[in-house]
Amino acid sequence: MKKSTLVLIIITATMLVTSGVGTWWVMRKNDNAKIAKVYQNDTLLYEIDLSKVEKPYTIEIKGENEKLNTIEVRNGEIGVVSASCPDKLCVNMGFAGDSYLPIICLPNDIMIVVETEGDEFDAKT
Amino acid sequence: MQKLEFKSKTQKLCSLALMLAMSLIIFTVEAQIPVPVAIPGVKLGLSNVITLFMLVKFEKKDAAAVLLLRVILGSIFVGQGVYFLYSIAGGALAFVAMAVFLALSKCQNIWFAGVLGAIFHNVGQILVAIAIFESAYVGYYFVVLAFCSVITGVFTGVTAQVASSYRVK
Repeated sequence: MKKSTLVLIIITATMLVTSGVGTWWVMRKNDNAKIAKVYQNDTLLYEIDLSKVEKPYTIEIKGENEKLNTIEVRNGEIGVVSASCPDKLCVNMGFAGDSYLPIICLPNDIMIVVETEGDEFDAKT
Repeated sequence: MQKLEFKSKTQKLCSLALMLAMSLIIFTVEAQIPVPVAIPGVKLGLSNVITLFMLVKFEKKDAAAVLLLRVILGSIFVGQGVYFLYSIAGGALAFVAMAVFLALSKCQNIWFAGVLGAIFHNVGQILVAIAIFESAYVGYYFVVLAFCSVITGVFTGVTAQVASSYRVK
């Protein structure tokens, strides 16, 4: 095996391990889930304190062309339960509060971010 | 690595049309394969095999033309409109990354160009997502996408390398 090939294999393996650790880091359970912010087309629609939710309830978000997403809010969790888009990725992503990844629906331009208390990271850049 | 030589313009046109047809078929079939992870943007990226193969065996501008047409026609046939921007940005960045790497390595280690292409495709996607959502939070997705890309990129890269190793008469 050529030396250059070996170097590239090592680089690839390093990238795999680094991104693997990073993936674990963002997918780990977010126990401090606190404030959920629901955005549509860059506008903040709802800001929900998840720790104060006693009974689960749903919110419907309508978009243009009869786009519809139903969001369910529970204590400590928020997620999309139904969507009018064909791929249903936002539904399959489950409930935020399970991880640090924001839930996004690309076709309907909806984003749900769960912020933890003491989180300095600024949502709007 | 030797580029393909064409006896006539017609032969070249046919080859390019064949490449475009193949990449569209791969793109369409791939869209039907369910991905086991529910993360927006994760896919196998098999049609990158054609782009990479063309970068090795064809002129760069021909490879770029086929890529551009594949992205446009692909979004018309299978994609939803919103994915077009992600595809075009990812495709363009991946193309540049792969072309630069192949020029530097003189077409050695083609498989690594597949990895680079996949990762730079994610860079393009994430930049578009940050612009559309106007939020840096979607940047979290990059690590997850990059992890999947290293794995799928090795497969597409190796496939393109093996395909390029055959002599075409």
